[in-house]
Amino acid sequence: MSMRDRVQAMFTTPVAEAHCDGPCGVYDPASARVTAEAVLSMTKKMLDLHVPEGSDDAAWASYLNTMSRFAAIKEEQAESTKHEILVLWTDYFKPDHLEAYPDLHDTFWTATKLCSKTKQNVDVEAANELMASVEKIHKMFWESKNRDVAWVPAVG
Amino acid sequence: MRQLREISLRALRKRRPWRVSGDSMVPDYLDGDLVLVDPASEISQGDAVVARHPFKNVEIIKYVAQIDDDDHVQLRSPQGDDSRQFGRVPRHTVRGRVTINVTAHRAGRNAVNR
Repeated sequence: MSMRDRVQAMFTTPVAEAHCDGPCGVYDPASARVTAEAVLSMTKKMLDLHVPEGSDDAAWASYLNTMSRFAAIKEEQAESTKHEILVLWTDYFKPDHLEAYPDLHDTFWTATKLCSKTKQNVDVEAANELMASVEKIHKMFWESKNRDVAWVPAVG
Repeated sequence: MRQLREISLRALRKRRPWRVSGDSMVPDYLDGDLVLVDPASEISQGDAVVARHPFKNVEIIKYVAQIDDDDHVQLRSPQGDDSRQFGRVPRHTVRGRVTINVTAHRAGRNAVNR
């Protein structure tokens, strides 16, 4: 740029952005799928864990320790799922997509609500509903990119 | 000659200057290039235009890929985000057509000014 351009640019010229927007649009609902699966898995594990018989201190300590860990992981993974879903909703999907997917907002709202529900409760049904919501988002997402990507959960 | 004409039109306020920021329009428009825009001009496919981003408070420089019947414009750039990510923009938010890349012209770069 010449000195003249530089001076002109400094005082009078507005900027026309020609930037790459952040990490160049790398989005993938797979991250939400993995964390939602973890929520489902932890919920099942919590319900499968049996209280120790009797009053053996070590057995109770182990039980409480395991149960707390399951709860903590469920909490963390549900929060992470919510974050991943919100990123897709607010950053990837655009007003234009509403034409093709009129239920887009409802789908995302339901999905994020289910993240909260699975966090607060030990509810297999809610965890399965969360998986179904993430699957719906997965389909919407790849369809909007004209790509045929199969829904393959890590846990069969 | 063309540059003279454009600069004269700028003096007559028939052209508005913008400065390019970023690399999404390489090779025709480089970071820091000064361009002149005709706000009154019709636009057509292939034109470089300055437009308002559909949902950010910035102005962007992109090529016109298509003008749809409902008066929305599809924008493209060789790199970075364009209408495929942020959607189409309403025709009235296009500020105008880029008529010359002043910096490229002065430097003798082979800028494409359609």
